[in-house]
Amino acid sequence: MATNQFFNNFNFGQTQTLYENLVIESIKMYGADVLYMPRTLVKEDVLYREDTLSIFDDAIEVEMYVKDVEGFGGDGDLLSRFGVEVYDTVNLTVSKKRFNQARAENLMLEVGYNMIQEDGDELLLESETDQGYNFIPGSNTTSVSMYRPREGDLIHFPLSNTVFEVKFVEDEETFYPHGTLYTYELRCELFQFSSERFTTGNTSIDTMALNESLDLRASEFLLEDGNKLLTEDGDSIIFESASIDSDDVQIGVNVESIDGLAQNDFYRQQSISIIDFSERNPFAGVQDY
Amino acid sequence: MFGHKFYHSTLRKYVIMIGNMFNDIEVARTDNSGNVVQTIAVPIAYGPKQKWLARVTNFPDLNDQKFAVTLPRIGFEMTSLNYAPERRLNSLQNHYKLSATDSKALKAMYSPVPYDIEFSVYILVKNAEDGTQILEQILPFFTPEFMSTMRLMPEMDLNLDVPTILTSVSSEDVYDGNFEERRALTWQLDFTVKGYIFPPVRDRSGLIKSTTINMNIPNMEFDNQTVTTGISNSVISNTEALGTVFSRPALKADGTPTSNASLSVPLSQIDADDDYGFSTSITENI
Repeated sequence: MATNQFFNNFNFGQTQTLYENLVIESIKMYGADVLYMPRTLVKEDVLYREDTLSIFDDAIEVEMYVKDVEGFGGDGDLLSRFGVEVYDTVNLTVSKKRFNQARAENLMLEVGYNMIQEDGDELLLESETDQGYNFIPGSNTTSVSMYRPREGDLIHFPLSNTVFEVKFVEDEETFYPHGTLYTYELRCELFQFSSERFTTGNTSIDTMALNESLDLRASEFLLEDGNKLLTEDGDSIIFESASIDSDDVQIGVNVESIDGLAQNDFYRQQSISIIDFSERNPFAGVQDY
Repeated sequence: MFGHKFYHSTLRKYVIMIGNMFNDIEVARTDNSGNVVQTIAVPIAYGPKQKWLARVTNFPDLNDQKFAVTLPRIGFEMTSLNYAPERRLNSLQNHYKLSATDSKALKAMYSPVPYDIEFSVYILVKNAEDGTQILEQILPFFTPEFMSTMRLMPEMDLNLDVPTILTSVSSEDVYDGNFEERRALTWQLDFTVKGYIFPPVRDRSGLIKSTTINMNIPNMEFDNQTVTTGISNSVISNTEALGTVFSRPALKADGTPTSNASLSVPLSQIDADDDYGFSTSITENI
């Protein structure tokens, strides 16, 4: 062994535990409570390597330390050929232990530590097995489908009421103090929303996403059992506020009421007096072929 | 020199035409069983805009931007205008239209000037599949042109078939780099609109209702001899005329046409769209 065997700087468990406790305590004192929303893949496209139907169906509160003290980073607000885009970034630090605790839904003490059974196993919430996490008898842990923050997950930042996407998780930002790693640094950017479905159970977030969604089917009438209310033709029925009917053209969702810069209906209205529609607009829909 | 006060909003109409082509595009997302579970309407907007207006429209109370941007979306802009000499029309040709309010007045306009108007349409998507869906809804309709019948000059009742030609399709996918850089997946479609720009419309207040033709024989060489009549080949005054042909429309009071001027109502009471006849009288001054 090349290093001095009488100095143990990197493998002393009690010091590491003390250090970790201090980190957690610091984050609890100076951090902010955010909502962590893991991404659920619904339909992964193995060709393009993307998931177009991601769902965010959980929102877990966990404290994180905001590393940026002078405001959000990134490109900020900019005007592009597509309209106004905002690319704020934020770097957040979360304790590894606290992230696992929050994610695994263990029963915790008031101070934020897991309750341990006599045999060393952690106590889990009764509903845990329904959440997709498997308790492993005899072990001192749980097997969860996600054991670290993942790129692509979302974070609701309450101070600005905005949703950030985790772009990169850095676990070696603080380089092995006392021989181990205690935190994740999450490098986040404001989320590019593409009408993903939010069913987190947090009414505020779910409503926020629904209000921004351009998904026509998000406005469908549902029966009490959750099935769609259909017409005789099999078409679904959408809320009146989500549809427009001008010049016998039905597009289903009023884009302009959702997107302030959109001009879809403006062009439609203006074109009535400009374009001779005896030739039908080919882009109005398949049924107009 | 060009100080005619007129504006037909023609370029504005071309912009609306392009915007209207792509304002009903939707992206369908299916689950693993092939069932459509999402139908996303794609917003479209003209790209260039006043910055302050975009800012206050998007952020009326500075608390409205929950996300970076909503995707997919389409932006477009008019990029250039180029004269199209191959479509040049006879510049002396006039288009006429009878005034809608005054049957004695005409509106006249010289031939429009052909211009190729270039447009670029940009598509920003988050998923590659969204982009290909949008493209496949557009491309089949351009072979490579798509014809729109446009009411470009309603003042002149002038409808024109305007071809829009798809000249190129390109994509840019910035997917490489470090993980903190966002992926930017855009498609660009370039179009050429074979349009026209229109000159001013002028009022022609007086219809020509009668003609007087004075005739004489000018000085000429005939059979190697010079015949002198005293009249040069120029404007012939009434006193110099050997003969005069006078023509006018003739209409009886009951609205039937006639060729007898003495039976006709005065010229001022005959309109262009009446069913009139012609009266011609020839006077000899020899």
